[in-house]
Amino acid sequence: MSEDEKKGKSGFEASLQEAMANYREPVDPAVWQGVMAGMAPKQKRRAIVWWWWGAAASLLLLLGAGTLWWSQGTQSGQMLAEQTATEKTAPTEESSKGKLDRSENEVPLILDGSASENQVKEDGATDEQAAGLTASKANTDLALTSTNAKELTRKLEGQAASQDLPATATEEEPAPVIAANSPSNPKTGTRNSDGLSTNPNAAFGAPKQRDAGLASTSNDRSGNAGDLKDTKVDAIPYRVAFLDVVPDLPQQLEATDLAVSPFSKKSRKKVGRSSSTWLLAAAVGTMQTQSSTGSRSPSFSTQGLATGNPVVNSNDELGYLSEDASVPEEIVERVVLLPKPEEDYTGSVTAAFTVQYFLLPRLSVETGLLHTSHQFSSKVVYLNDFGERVHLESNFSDRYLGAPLQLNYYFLQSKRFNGYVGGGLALEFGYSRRVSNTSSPDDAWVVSESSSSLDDFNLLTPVGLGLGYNLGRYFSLYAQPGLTFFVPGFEPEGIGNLEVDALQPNFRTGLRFHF
Amino acid sequence: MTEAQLVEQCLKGNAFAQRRLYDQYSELLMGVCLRYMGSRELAQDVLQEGFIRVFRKLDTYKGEGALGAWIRRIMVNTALEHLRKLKKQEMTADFQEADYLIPEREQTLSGIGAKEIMQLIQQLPVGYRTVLNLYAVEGYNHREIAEQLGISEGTSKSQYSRARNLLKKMLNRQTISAK
Repeated sequence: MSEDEKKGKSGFEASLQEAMANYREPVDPAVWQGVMAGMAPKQKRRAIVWWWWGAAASLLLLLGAGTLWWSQGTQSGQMLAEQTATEKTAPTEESSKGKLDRSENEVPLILDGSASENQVKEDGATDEQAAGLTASKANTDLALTSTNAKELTRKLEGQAASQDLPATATEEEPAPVIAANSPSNPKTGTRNSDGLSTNPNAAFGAPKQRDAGLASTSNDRSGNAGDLKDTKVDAIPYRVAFLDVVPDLPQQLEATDLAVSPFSKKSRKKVGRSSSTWLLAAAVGTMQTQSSTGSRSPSFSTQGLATGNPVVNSNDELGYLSEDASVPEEIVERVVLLPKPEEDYTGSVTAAFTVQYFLLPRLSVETGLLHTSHQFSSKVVYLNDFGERVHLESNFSDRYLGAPLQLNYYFLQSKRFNGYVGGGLALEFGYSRRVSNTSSPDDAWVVSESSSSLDDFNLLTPVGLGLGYNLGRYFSLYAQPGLTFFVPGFEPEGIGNLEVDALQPNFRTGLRFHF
Repeated sequence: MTEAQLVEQCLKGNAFAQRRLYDQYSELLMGVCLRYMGSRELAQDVLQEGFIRVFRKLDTYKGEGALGAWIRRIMVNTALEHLRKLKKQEMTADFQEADYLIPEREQTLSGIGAKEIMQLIQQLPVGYRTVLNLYAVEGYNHREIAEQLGISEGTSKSQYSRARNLLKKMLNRQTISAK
């Protein structure tokens, strides 16, 4: 301001400025409302952004949980049914403790199948409608020609002889006892070496006198009386059975949900347990020992296998032959070889809500709540009590709640994104095991689910590389792929004989509050 | 609550703090707007828009200088933007008329209330009123006024001179009529 201007302001302007400087005028209330209305769009946009991210986060979590749930529940829906043409078989608990090492290849063998094959074809092959499992089909699936059977018999006999094992049904050497191995879990001490021994499903024997054979199988499924009592199948006194191949399944009898589809996944329908008892039995592989009370009722015996004679074929697959001397030589003896169970640990997924406090601008300590699902899978083939070969796929989800104590170093801290490396210690307590089974007896398949409590705890050291997205000032969503190292002796209980390796992959995602 | 705390709360979106800030300055700023805009309706429009700007730009307030002065500058700038929207002819239409306005005697503002002065200022042509406000009340110099309004410094000076004479004449009339 120039001097002239200053001089010019000395009189009139000064008095004008003095009069107007603190002049106040009342304001209509509508102005404030207008101000608020003018501010609203921006606040609304912010609110919308918050809602959007909130919805996105919820959706992400739901998708993750849903995927997890789905993956446990509906795997292997397309598993093809495969069944073998064995006559009725029965489990023996005694033999279920054996641990046998077999090849992956399954080779159904008939030591002498001609008689049975013909007999069944004559009498029971047309009873298809009741269960989708016909005697003829069953026999066709399994039966080999007489020539082939003889060749295989010779092979078996030769190998058995080479291993000093009795190879024929008429030898009277006592069967070696297949002892259960039980290197138990360090935490539970309840599991044997292959984890299968506690199940009574695996070994199959047959009573000497049997009435119904396959007819009773059909009967049982359909509720209609079968008329195969006059068939020569009745004369088959013995079923050669194999191995314990079904994991800890008895508890799965508590299945709460059972779905049966005789055709495809699309046509799956829910059925009650009562109407699908046999399917449930097939699914869980539990052989109900029953007495022979009638010609139309399936009878199962726990006898036979324990006294059977082991034979080994060219694939080092081991089976038993009857040693029942009363069995006529022409009676069919069959050896059904089953593949070795497959068991895998497929990793873990963790959902988390955590709180972190920044000790330094780039270093934070974090704790909170973790929900981890350790995934296992198993594939087993076994014979059910009808002699059918059942493929059973099971997916186990062992669920744990835990708390981490983790340090995170942030190498990226932008307005929206953050990146970090983190590691620490975590403790997990198991609370639930969910099992989803899919089995395929014949051309139907069965899905069942069950859950049970899980008494287990893990001690682990997770490390990971995380990427987060900031939701406002205090929250962030993050994904953290990484590795988990289980402290020896405190790894997941696992399934069967599976020993979980100490180092495992893990994917963790969640919501983090930081301050 | 101190001024800094008030600002902090407003920045956090605290509606009570925003209302408190509004209540603290709204009447004073309404007076400012009224001096520039000439009508109450226009003044309230400017006040409303000015406060919206204040809240939105509050994060740029660094605490240097008084908060009231910072808000006042925003309000004046808002008023000037409104005025720029008026046609330039309107801003200078009364110049010729002003040439014939010769003060009868030196007029002081003693004995005249602020409300009357405000009413007289509001009656000034837009161009005169704007320069008068900026120069005599806000304390801008002519160069700054010229930059603000997009006119020459000479125009600012001549406009102020005429505005001053016109206001004095109006004050004389006011005084005579009051007697």
